[in-house]
Amino acid sequence: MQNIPLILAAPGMTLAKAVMRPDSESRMPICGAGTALTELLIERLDQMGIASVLVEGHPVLIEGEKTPEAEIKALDHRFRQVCEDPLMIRLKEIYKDRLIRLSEEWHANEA
Amino acid sequence: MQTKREEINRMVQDVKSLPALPGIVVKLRALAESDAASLQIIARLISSDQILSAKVLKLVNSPFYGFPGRVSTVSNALILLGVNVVKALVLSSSIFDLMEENVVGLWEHSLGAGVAANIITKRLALPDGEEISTAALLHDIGKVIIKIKLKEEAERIRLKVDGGEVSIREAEKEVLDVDHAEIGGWLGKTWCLPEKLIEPIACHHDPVRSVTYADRTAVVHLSDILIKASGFGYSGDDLVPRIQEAAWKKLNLSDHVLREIVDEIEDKLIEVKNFSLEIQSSHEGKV
Amino acid sequence: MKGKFRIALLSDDRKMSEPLILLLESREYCVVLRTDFSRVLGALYSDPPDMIIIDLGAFTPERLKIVSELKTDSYFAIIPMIGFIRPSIEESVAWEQLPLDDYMVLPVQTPELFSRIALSIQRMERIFDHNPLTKLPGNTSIRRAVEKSMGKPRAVCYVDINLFKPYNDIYGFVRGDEVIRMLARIISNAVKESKEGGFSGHIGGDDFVFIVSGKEAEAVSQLVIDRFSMIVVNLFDKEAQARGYYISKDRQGRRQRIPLLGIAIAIVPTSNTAIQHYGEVAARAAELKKEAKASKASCYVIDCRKA
Repeated sequence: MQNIPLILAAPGMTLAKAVMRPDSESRMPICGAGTALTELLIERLDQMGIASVLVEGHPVLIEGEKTPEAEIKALDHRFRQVCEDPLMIRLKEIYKDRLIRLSEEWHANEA
Repeated sequence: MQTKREEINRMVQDVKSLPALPGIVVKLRALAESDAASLQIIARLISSDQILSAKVLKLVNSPFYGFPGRVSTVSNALILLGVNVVKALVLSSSIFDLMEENVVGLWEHSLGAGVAANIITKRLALPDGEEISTAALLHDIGKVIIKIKLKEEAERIRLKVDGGEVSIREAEKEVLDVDHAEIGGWLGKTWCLPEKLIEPIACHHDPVRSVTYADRTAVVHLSDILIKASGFGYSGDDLVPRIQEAAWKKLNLSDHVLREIVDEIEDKLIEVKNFSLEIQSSHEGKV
Repeated sequence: MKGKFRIALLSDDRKMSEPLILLLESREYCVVLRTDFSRVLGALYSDPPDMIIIDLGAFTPERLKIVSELKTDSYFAIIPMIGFIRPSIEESVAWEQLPLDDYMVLPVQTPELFSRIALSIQRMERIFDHNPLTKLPGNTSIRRAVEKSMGKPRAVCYVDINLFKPYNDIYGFVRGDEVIRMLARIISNAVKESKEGGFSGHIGGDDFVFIVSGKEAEAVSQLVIDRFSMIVVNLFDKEAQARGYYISKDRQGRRQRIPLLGIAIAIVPTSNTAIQHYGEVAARAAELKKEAKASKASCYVIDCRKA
């Protein structure tokens, strides 16, 4: 499952989660999980102001995106000057946990 | 003899306008040509760009209109200036010649910080969310000034950062004797922006110096750091700064809430990325 | 503090403009040349001059739009504007629809230009009926506009601020003036954005008038109320903003809670044939205002009496 910018969505991808109307309080669904994306549907979503969708698998590499392992390495690198600070260590853990979660999804998909 | 600081301060007082991203201006131009474009849609698009937001806020706070230093959000500026004035102002904006990678990176970083500030203020139930995200959106405007008005120095700063373990802020201080936060604050003063925007901009790296609007400054401080931690956009270096203890205490967040905030920001950043890719492609004309 | 008199010269004809600039500068005018008409409006808005000279060239829609845009914004309508036109098209121009203050035929004769500049400035000052605080048209223009709309499907809307005096007493008249200026901008922008457009005027103090189509009167009134409440919170201190009121003393010196500023609007449709005179419109509005004021919050009241 991957959260992608709508501009990178392409026909043939499958929604992993229902898309909701962005403007209504009631969170009305526009189309449900499992829907296959089409050119027309993507265009409609764009017109309705949807900016991102959750799709099955990991179909695209977003510009600059690395594998989760490489992302974790990059995270360590960004925190290199503050890796002694207890608060910053905790902050880094939050990001790391997130990446590990993404990594599990990524590999589950490969299997 | 004039010190480097004084020289830069004087230069900032002469800054009349700064270039915007061509993609945004193209989009706004298309909007401006359709009469149906509502105030909210125009406000939302302008609020995604630090330069255009600053430009609109500069005009509405100028002594000419007679309420200097009072307006701190783009939507209020639009109500007071009128849609036509704002459209004309945007259309007359000068733009960057090319979409340089670093320019787009800084734009993404700024917009990301604005989005983060909005999420944090909602979680903390602070009033004036729109004002605080505006301050976060504008927090690095000093970097644009350095890039545009001090080209040769900007290059020296870049070389220093690329050369080693120096943050852009430290490099700025070495080269200019002043950092982008302070320069941004000077610009805010020159442009008669409200103090509640100036203080968070000027103190976002050193929030203890913020006296009157310490809450807002703490939010902007954290927003900047979270966006850098996330690796979203590029603000001139790849070093996550330390969260200042006083600011952390001021915000009084638990680790649990921080985790939820980070998750919410990360999801929202995908949407920001979508917008960014859209802006870049509308510039290249492929759409 | 007054510097040189600043003239914005809008022309893409360098042959004409360059010698002209030298001449004007020799007369101590400061001239800013703008050659890119597509960006000229924004440049004028961000750096307003004292006078505008526009080369209308071949009367392209782009240039005519600049004239009408500027003249419909109250802050810019009072800047004198002289148009340069080509010879021989004088007769074909729809002068009634062109809100210029004066014109000259190219090639420009310099002694004539100087006298026209001087006269335009003078005339603007003489017929200046605009309120100096808000630059909106004043009572003479208001009366004329109300009379013009009588018997037509339009509505005259009277606006004033609730509990403005205690605000001035507590926050000072400088702040009070800011409130007035903001309300003026809110009204004139809301009127301008309405489908059919309309008129905005400033009677004086915290009293304003706007005229829009009868169909849109309620929507525009509500818009003015909503926008005013969005903006006005910025003019209170943090505590008052959070509490929704501030403390003032009444005549007996007792502490009173005063709610944040709101406005009352009285809408008098002028399609009603029972209303014959300007005075009757104002009288009906005064009655309605009492009704509107009975509510503490901002609101509008509409005159529903039949003819």
